[in-house]
Amino acid sequence: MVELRTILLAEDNPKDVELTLEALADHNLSNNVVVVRDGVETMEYLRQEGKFKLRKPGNPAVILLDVKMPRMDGLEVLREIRGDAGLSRLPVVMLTSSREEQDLVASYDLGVNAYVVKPVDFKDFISAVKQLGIFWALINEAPPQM
Amino acid sequence: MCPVRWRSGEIPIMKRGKNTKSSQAERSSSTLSEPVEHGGTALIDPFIPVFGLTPRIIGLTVSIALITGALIGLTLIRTSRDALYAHILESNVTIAGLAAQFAAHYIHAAESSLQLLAARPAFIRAVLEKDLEEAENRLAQVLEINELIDSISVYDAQGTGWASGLRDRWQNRGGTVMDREWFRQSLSFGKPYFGIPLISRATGNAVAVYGVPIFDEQGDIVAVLAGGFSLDVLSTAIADLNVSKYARASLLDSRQRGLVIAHPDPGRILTPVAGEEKAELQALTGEKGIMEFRTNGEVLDLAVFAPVQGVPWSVLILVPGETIFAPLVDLTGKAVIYVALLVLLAVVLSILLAHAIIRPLRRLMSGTEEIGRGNMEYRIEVKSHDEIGQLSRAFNRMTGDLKAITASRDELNREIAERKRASEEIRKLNAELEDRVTKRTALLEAANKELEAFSYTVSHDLRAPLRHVSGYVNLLNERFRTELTEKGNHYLDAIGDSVNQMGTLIDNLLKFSRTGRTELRIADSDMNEIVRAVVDSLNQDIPHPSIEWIVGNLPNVSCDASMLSLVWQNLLGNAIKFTRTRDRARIEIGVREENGEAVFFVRDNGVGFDMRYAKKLFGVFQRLHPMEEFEGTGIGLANVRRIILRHGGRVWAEAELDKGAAFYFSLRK
Repeated sequence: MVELRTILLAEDNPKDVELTLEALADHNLSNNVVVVRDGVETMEYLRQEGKFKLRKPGNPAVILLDVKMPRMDGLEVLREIRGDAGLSRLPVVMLTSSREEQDLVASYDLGVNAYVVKPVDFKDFISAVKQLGIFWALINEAPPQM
Repeated sequence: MCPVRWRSGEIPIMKRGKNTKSSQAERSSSTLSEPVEHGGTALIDPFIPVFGLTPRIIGLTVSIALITGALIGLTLIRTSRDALYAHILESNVTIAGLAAQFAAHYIHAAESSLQLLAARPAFIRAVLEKDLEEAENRLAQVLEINELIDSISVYDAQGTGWASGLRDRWQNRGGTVMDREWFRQSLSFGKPYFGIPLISRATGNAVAVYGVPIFDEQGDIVAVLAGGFSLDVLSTAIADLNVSKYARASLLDSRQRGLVIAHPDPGRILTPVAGEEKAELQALTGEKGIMEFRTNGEVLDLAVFAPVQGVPWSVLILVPGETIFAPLVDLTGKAVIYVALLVLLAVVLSILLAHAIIRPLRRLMSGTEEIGRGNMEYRIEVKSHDEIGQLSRAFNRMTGDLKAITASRDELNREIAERKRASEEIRKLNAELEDRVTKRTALLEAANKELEAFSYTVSHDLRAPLRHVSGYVNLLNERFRTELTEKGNHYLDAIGDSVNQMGTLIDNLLKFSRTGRTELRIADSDMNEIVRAVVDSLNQDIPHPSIEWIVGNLPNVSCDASMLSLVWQNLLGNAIKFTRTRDRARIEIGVREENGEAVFFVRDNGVGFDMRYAKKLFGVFQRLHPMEEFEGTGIGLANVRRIILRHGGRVWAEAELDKGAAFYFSLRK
C-alpha cells in the first residue's frame, strides 16, 4: 500500500456530501477528499483551472461521481474524462441513487470503472463507501500519471 | 416455190379476243374499290383487295370460256376446213371424172357412129359408085343424130371434098384437106385418127376432126370419112356441169404442146396452154390426180385432172384457193362472234356470281363490325342455302355464343370489380387500422415514456431524501445514542424502520412498474434451469431450517426467462417465508398439462391463507397477514400476476389455513 491519494467527490447535495464524508471518516479517508459540486467544477479541478489553478498537481486516485448534478451531469463528466488524453485512465466510480438501466448502460458504455447505487439503509451506505474508499484509494494501483 | 402441203396455217383470231377480255377484267376490278352498301350499314373497308373476288372469278370464267371457245372454235374450223377441202376435192374429182367420162362417151359415141358408117357396105358402095345423094343422105342422118358432130364429110383419097352431111351448105366441096393432119394421119395409118382441134374450113367452127378411112373390098383406102366434133358443144356441155361458182373446168389437148379445147372463157379455145399455168402443164401429162399450188400470194389453189379416155385429152378443174375456204371465212367470223358472246356471257355470269358471294360476305363483314361495337343482338339474314348460308348461320351461332360469353364475361368483370372494391375496402380498413395502431402505439409509447420519466424521478429523487433521513438517523444512532433518552432512541428506531420500509416500497414499486413497461423477450426457455437458479439463490440468501425441495421435471416453454425468474423468486420466496414456522418445510414444484397449456404450481405446507380472501391475494399492496408475522409489501404477487397475464396465462391459488397453499400459473406451450 502506498500513501493515501486524493479522492474526488462530485456531489451536489450537501447532505449526501456530509453523509459520504462521515462514512469515509472512519478510516481517516476523509482528509484526502476533495469535494466538487457539479460537473464543471469537476473538470476545473481535474484540469487545474479556475479556482483549482493552484492546487497540488496530480490526478486523484478515484472520482466518486454522482449522476444527477446541475450544469454538467455525471455522464457528461465521464465522457469528458474519457475523451481527455490526460485524464482518460482515471478510475471513475458512479456513486448514485439511480439504478436506472439507461444510466447503467450509458455509464458502462462510456467506460466507467464501477457503478454503485447508494443504498437507502445508511449502514449499508457506510459499508459501501468505506469499501470503495479503501479499495480505490489504498488497494488499487492507480494508473501512472500522464 | 414453197413446198406443197396438206394443212394450212393457223387462224389468227385468238390474240385479238384475249386482249379485249383481259382489259375487260381490269376494268371490272376497279369497280370494286367503290364503297358498297350492304346489310344496312355503309361499309367502307379501307383495305381494298388488289386481287378481289370479282376480277378473279371473272378472270377464271373468261379464261375458261376463251380456252373452251377457242379450242372448240379451232377444232370446228379445222375440221370444217378439212371437211370442206375434202368435200371440194372429192366433188371436183368426181366431177372431173364425170366430165371426163362424159366427154369420153360423147366422143366415143360419135366416133362409133362414124366408124359404123364408114364400115357400112351400103355406104361404101355409095362412095365407090359415087352415089352422092345416097352418101349425103347417110351423112346427114349421122349429123342429125349426133349433136356433137358439127360436120360430117367424105374426102377422097386425094383429100378432095366429095360429100357432106351439110349438103349444099358445105363450104369445102372440091376443097382439099391434104394439108390437114387428121387426113394425112388417118390416110397413112389406115386407122381412125382423132385429129388435133382446129378451125373447120367447112363450118368455120372450132372442131376436132375424126377421120375414119373407108376401105374397099380389097382393103384399099378409097376415101376418108371426116366428122368434126364441135368444141363449142363440148365446152358448153362441160360448162353445164356447173362445177361450182368458182371452179373452172377446161379441156386440154396434150398434143402440140397443149391446146385448150374447152374453156369457160371462149377466148381461150384453141389457144395454146399457158406456159406458166402449172396446172395446165400437169394436165397435159394425162395423169389423173390433184395438185395444190400457189399462183400468187399465199393462197393454195386446187387443180383436179381427169384424162379423157380414148383421146389425148384431159379435164382440168381449177379451184382458186380463196374460193375453197370462202365459206370458212364466214364460219370463222361466226365462230369469233360466238366466242365473244360466250366470253361476254361468262363475264356477266361471273360478275353475278362474284356479287352473289361478295354481297353476303360484306354483310358478314359489317356484321362483325357491329358485333365489334358491342351489339350482340345483330343477326345475319340467311338468304342462300349454300356454303355462304352455312357461314351466315355459323356466324349467327357464333354471335349467340359470343353474347353468352360476353354476358358471363361481363358478370365476371362485375365480380372482379366487386372483389377489387372489397379488397380496396379491406386495404383502406387495414390502412386505417394501421394508422390507428400507429397512433395508439405512439400514445402508448408516449405514456410509457412518461412512466419511465416518472419512475426515474421516483427512483432517484425520492430515494435521495430517504437516504438522507436514513443516514442522519443512523448517525444520530451511532454518535448520539448516549445523549438521547430511551424514548428518543425509540423514536429514532421507528423513524429508521419507516425509512427502510419506504425504501423497500419504492424499490418494489419501481420493480413492479418495470415489469409492466419492459418488453417481453420471449424465447424457448428451459424452466428447469430457471427454477434451479432461483432455488439456488434463495437457498443462499435466506437462512432457514431445512427445506425439502421437491422439483418435478419441467418442460420448455416460450416465455421471458428473466420475468419468469421473478415469478419463481416471488412464489418460492413466499413459500419459504410462509413455511418458516414449520420444522420441516416442504415445497413442491411441478407442472401438469391441461388443454395445451403448462400449468406450473408451487405447493407448500406453510401457514396457508383464508380462501375467502383469495381474490385480494394478487392485488397491489394487498396483504392477508399482519406485518408483525410476515413482512412484505404485498406487491410480489401483483407482480407475478401481471407478468403471467402479459404472457397470456392465468394465476390462481388454493389454500387451507394452517395446512398449506398452492399457487398455480399457466403458460401456453
